[in-house]
Amino acid sequence: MWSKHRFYDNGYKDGFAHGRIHGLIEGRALGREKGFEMWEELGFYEGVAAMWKAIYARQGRQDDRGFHHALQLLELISQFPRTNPSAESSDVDIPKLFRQIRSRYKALCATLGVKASLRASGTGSPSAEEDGTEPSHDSGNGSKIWDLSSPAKSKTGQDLSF
Amino acid sequence: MNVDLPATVECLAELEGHDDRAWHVAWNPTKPILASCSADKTVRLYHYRQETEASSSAIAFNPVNTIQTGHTKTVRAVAWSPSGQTLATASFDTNIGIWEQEPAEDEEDEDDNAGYRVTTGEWECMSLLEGHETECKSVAYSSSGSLLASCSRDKTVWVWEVHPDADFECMGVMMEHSQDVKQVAWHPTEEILASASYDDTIKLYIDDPSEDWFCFATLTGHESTVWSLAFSPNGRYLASSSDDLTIRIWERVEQHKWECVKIIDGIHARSIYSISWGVGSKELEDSDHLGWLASTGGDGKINVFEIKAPTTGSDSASVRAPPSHRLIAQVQAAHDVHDINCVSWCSRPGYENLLATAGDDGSVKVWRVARIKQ
Repeated sequence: MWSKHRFYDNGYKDGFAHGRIHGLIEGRALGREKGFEMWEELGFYEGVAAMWKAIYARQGRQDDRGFHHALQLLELISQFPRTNPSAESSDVDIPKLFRQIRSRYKALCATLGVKASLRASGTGSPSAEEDGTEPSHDSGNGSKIWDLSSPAKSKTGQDLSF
Repeated sequence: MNVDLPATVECLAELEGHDDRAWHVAWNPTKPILASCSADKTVRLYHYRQETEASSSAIAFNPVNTIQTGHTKTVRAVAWSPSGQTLATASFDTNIGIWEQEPAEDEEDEDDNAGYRVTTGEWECMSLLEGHETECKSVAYSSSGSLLASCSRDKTVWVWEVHPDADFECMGVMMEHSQDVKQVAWHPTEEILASASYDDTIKLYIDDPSEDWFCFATLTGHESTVWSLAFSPNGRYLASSSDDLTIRIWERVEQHKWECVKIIDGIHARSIYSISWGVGSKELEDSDHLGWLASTGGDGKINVFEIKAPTTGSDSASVRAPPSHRLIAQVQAAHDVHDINCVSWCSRPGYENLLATAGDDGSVKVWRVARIKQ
């Protein structure tokens, strides 16, 4: 009886250690992938905000609502963690911050009169930049970023009757 | 019909014309016009006139305009600006239309005593507000008319500032709800915004000194989708209706704090799609009269409740006394077997006992609530 327990315990210990190694490898890979995706999106917003902030400043339109939106967007993005703390010590609510960043980006786009292009793959509907001076993006596809294609057709959603 | 109720509901008009379900109705706050919108993508406007001076006189409703909105999908909601000059439409095509009427040759209204002339100018789209990603469900002007709020299935609530020449500035986008936002409603006097959602919560928003909008409170309690909101005319209470078949009344206990003080249940057999809180008509001696709350929904019933302020106890009660409610009028199967999507009280002086409903049968009906004289 007692020897069976030992075999079980040894097997369990080996499996656990083995699993831990694989878990760390997978976890790191996932973290890297997610981190890349998040910053691919955030970097885009930061670029948009920085560009429009500069344009407003050059035109002397710092009183404009759009300038305020751009500034607030940059401020929110700066709150986003850029280093990797352990989970317990972080008090940043990442999903909430992301929501606020995306909301502020949409408000900026509405003020500018351009169609918002959400960069997150898998969330929201892909929509093309209608502004004539910028190239259109295929934001639904993760690999192609600066694909110069015709604007995507607007989504024909089902007419939900609520 | 319950013969013991103290008030009657009389159907004054049945307005047909929409080719598909009617979603929403809105009374113009300054002119004798009623607007309705539909899945047929149009907005229909009706002019009304009281035939004689008597309070029980018939009221004639006549269609004056059908706006082919150009929205590519259902028009889900309409809202008038407080001035009565501008109309906003919320559509499933994600856009919000802003409409004004071109001045045209005034037609003589036979009844010159009304002081209003029917104008038949074309309605023109002054502005199209884009930004929502999915179906727009509701739109509303603040009491001052300087702000416009909208909400959508994309879970966001947008606040726009109204500028001259139909210029709108996006003041904020709030994505605090975790699901489809069904309706937005403004406080009757202050710039406080409320939103109701499929996520079972109600959220309240306000702006900070730099005019950034944020959510300052989340009201939980409903056990299912919150469909509709209505502030009391005195601004101290907020009523909400839900898929959970209840109406909840929330009281403003502090400047930025609202608490549930009443749950009204057993009043509808199906989802309560719409509520409206009007001033009603009170008996002369009622100082605690908070108005009339009308509710309707999937069971085809219209309920009218009289709401009264709680009688203040002499001791400082730690438990807040709730306002009282009493069913004063009811209509069964108001649109036959069809769901009723919207109920709305008229706010114009002299017409506060008029109620309009929009149903899945495509018709808009107008009702008058009158107390039975003892």
